Amino acid sequence: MRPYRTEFTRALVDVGRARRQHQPPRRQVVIVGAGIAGLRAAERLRERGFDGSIVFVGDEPHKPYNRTPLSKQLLAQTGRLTDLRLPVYRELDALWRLGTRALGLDLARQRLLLPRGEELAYDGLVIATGVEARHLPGAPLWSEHVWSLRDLADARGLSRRLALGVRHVAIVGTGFIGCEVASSLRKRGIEVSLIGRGKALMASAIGGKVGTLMTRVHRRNHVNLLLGRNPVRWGTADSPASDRTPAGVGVRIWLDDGSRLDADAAVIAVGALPAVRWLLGSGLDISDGVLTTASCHGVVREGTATGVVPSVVAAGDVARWPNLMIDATPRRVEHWITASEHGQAAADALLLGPGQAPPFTPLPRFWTEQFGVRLQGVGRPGLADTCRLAEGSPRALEFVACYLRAGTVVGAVGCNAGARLLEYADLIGLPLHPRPELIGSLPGPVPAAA
Amino acid sequence: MVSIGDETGVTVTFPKGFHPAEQPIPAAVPAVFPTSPNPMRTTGPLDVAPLVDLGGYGGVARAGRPPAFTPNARRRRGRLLRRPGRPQVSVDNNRCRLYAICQMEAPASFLVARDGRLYYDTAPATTELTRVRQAARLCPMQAIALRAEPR
Ligand SMILES: Cc1cc2nc3c(=O)[nH]c(=O)nc-3n(C[C@H](O)[C@H](O)[C@H](O)COP(=O)(O)OP(=O)(O)OC[C@H]3O[C@@H](n4cnc5c(N)ncnc54)[C@H](O)[C@@H]3O)c2cc1C
Ligand code: SF4
Repeated sequence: MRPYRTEFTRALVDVGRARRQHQPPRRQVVIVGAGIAGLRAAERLRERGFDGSIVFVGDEPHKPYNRTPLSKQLLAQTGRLTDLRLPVYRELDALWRLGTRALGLDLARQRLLLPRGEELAYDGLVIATGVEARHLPGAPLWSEHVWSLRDLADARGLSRRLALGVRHVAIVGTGFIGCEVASSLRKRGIEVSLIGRGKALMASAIGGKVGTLMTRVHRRNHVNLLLGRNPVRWGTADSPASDRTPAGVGVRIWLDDGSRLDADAAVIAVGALPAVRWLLGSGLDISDGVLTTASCHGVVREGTATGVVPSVVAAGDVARWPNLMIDATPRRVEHWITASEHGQAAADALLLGPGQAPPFTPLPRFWTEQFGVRLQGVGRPGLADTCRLAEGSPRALEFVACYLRAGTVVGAVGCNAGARLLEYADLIGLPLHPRPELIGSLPGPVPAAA
Repeated sequence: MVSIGDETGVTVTFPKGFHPAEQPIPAAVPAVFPTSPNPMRTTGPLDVAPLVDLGGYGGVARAGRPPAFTPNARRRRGRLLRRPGRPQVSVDNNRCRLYAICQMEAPASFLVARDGRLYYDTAPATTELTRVRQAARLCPMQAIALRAEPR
């Protein structure tokens, strides 16, 4: 009996060992950038039944949070910190390497390079490092009185500065974030000066006509608009002696028209640059963001030869990809909704591979609210050459405007329009003329403001 | 204006005269809805009936006996009827700014009507859940909450 039993036990052990050896290795997906796109990618991987390990490598010390209230509810003090929470409907079972910056990428060995010489092997890599606030040449961002706004640390620093007491804040940059900051600060009763290069607010995103209407809204709400001007020199209260401002003045800004502006603090919101420095020398095409195929896969470029990397996908603000719904030119989109959808599509693309993955063709959607005016856009209004009023009344600030490029609808913007905008979302990519009933309702361009 | 509040603090608001207790449930859904290709993008009688009355059983108390097609619903008089195991959807009225992203994502469960209100299904069908979750993910104001069935 006894010898037989030993044989049997040994056989069982062998079976166990063989089973372990023949099991497919656990796959590992590494997500660089713990933002909304990375979070949605992880969630989608689990939804699709991915049972390998997921590792987040994030620069910030926080798990993904919602950035969009930073310039709105949080700054206006109408929201709380818990509003930044994001819902997740799947157990992620991920490893969070927060406070860790990715330093490089070795495509050939499938390794992510981390600080202290650490290397992290991956089978799939999701690049979702987003963008970082662009630096304005000459601006003393090191100063306690000058802030930009991209992440929670910026928001905290700025609100700490505001809590020390400010009466007047200068904002440089008239994009969405600059305008939202202006609105939120006015809501708190703080005087605001808005400095911008262009003649209309948010013109690059929503065109000059609607931009002009919004300019009027800001003016009516007593925002001191300094448009068509650039800062050329800065002085702050904590500058070295030659640039130091007199007592009681936090920031002094000299503008290119010779005027001078004194404020207690300044916010710089002059756009963003994709966070791709860590990919330098990796072989990936990183001119203005990580170039990907229509299906989110990374593209390597060596001289004139290009190739697709099946194990690398990019999503969110950092990715530059052709949205075939609009055209074949690769572009970046910096919208929160699109970043969420992009993360999901990238996860699918990673699982399916470049052969099977469908092109990612979302309808870009964005929103902003300033002084109670709700602006909402679909498509790419910024690409348009013509802007037409489609319905409603610009005077009452309740309208939908259609954006055309060479006769084709590329976008629409609704102002306090609610669901009326949705009809126009369906028109994107279509020439306007097969819809005679719509042409009939176009009374002409939105009148320019006085 | 009449509101039904439940213990979760959710209020479903109906236009005057359309409280389920005030109004018999329309026997037939208005003809515009089923025939139009995309019901939510038309301008049918959107502002006349709460969404729960336009399609299926929405978890809102109704007069009379529970409908026969909800055999698992716990029948309790004077209480909300819920099917066990389905998440409850609620929208925070103080946050929602009517961007209608939810309607784009889950047109069968959310509707921003022309009267400037959001109508929504508090207990969407299981087949709708994927869309409802996506609506909750993408809502700009993060106003949509899904929570598991209490009790
Ligand atoms: C103040 C503000 C208001 C906004 N409001 C709106 C709005 O109203 N509507 C709208 O549509 N969009 C808005 N946006 C834009 C929206 O927030 C972005 O589109 C979205 O956050 C992009 O998500 P993402 O995941 O691609 O990048 P992010 O959310 O930026 O996440 C990227 C993460 O990667 C990290 N990271 C960067 N480099 C590295 C590295 N080398 N290693 C590790 N981690 C790294 C970053 O720290 C960051 O945490 C707003 C943005 C801001 C800042
Ligand atoms: S998406 Fe959110 S904010 Fe917009 S209508 Fe729906 S619930 Fe309201």
